Amino acid sequence: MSPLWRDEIGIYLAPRKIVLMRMGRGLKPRVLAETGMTFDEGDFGTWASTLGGLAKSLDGAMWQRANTRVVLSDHWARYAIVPWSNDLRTHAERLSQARIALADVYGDVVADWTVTLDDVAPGTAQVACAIPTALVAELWEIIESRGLSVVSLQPQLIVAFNRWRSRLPASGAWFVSIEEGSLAAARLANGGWDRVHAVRIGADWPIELKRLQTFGRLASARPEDGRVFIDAPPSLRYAAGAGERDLEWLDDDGSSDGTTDKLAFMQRFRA
Amino acid sequence: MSARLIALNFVEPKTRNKGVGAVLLAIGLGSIVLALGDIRSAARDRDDLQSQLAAVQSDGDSGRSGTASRHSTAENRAVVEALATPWSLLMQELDAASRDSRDSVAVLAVEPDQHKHRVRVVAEARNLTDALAYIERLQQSRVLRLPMLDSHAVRTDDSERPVRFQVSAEWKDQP
Repeated sequence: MSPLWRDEIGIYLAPRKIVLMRMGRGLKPRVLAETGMTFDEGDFGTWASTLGGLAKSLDGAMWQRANTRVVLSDHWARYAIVPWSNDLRTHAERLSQARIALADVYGDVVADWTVTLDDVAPGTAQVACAIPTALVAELWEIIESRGLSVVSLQPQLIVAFNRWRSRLPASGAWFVSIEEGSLAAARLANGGWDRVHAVRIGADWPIELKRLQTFGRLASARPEDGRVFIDAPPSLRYAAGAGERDLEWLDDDGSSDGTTDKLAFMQRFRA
Repeated sequence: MSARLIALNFVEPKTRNKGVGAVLLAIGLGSIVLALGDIRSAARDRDDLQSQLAAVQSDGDSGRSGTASRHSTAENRAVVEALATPWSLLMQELDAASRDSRDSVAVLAVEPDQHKHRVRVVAEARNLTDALAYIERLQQSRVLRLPMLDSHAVRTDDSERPVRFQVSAEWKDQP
């Protein structure tokens, strides 16, 4: 069978959660199988439990011979905005600049992480993201040793943003993706991002959200620029109080399609 | 305007598909080149065939008409020349000359040359005197002009030793 028509497995990896979903290819993709795993004692700082659970899950017959799309929790992702510079000619030079921008924010901890940039038109600021190289290497080992090929590996904020972007304004708003223990936010400007944050949160995460909301208002000349669009599992939404003014909770209206969107959609309900 | 797609991926799909894309591109370009070659070849074949067809048609037309025309012209000319030859008068003159020579001369052959407008008469006489009298008689003809004795010979194989002679003369279209 052509690789283009192989089934796809969506994998969501978080410190205390794994979600797998197999999608059949064709004109009307459908869910062939799904499973999930949670780790109550999982350590937010490491990925051993997560990858161990993934390896065990992938040994099942249902998870063989397919392309995989991996969505990584923002726990293991660090973001920065890299201004465009005409002095930088090559991709390697831009990656070096991205490492400098990430180090300015996060220090030496990201020095040996794997960094990538989004693909933009010249003259546009780029989003840089770093994830632990050891995590990537172990993940590749688990997936490729089972004959699976990886089509994409993206952090949650990117996947969530791309899923909802058609419902977001081009400028003057924040997009926030929340999961258990982490909050990542991007400020929208000129169709792209001009600021990005990723922070760990505890039970008091609504306070973080209000802080972001207040910051957005203060940093904007127009009141309507303080809008905050939130992608969050229902359980966290109820905890924050859905009636909060200027908070716009993004709900799936069933119009999205594609493996990644369905994975994100499913992941929210399995939270 | 909505927000743009953030194309950030730790796996580079383009790299993975680059080989396939290059192969497909090469196949596509190759197909285009082959198709163009076929089109050019077909166009050349068509032009050649059209040229050949035109040549065949031209040859056929001109060949048929030319041959027919040539044949027609030659036949017509022959007919015209034949019709233009004053056979009746000529034969009457030759016959009258023979009678005037008291049948001492026998005409053996009359060979007209229509192109040169001349006639050659082969005859036999009992002797040379009769032959010369016959020629003098022809010189008085209304149809012939300047009859000349071309040759004469005594037939030794004949016991009467006749003289065979040949006279040539122009004929007149209008006596």
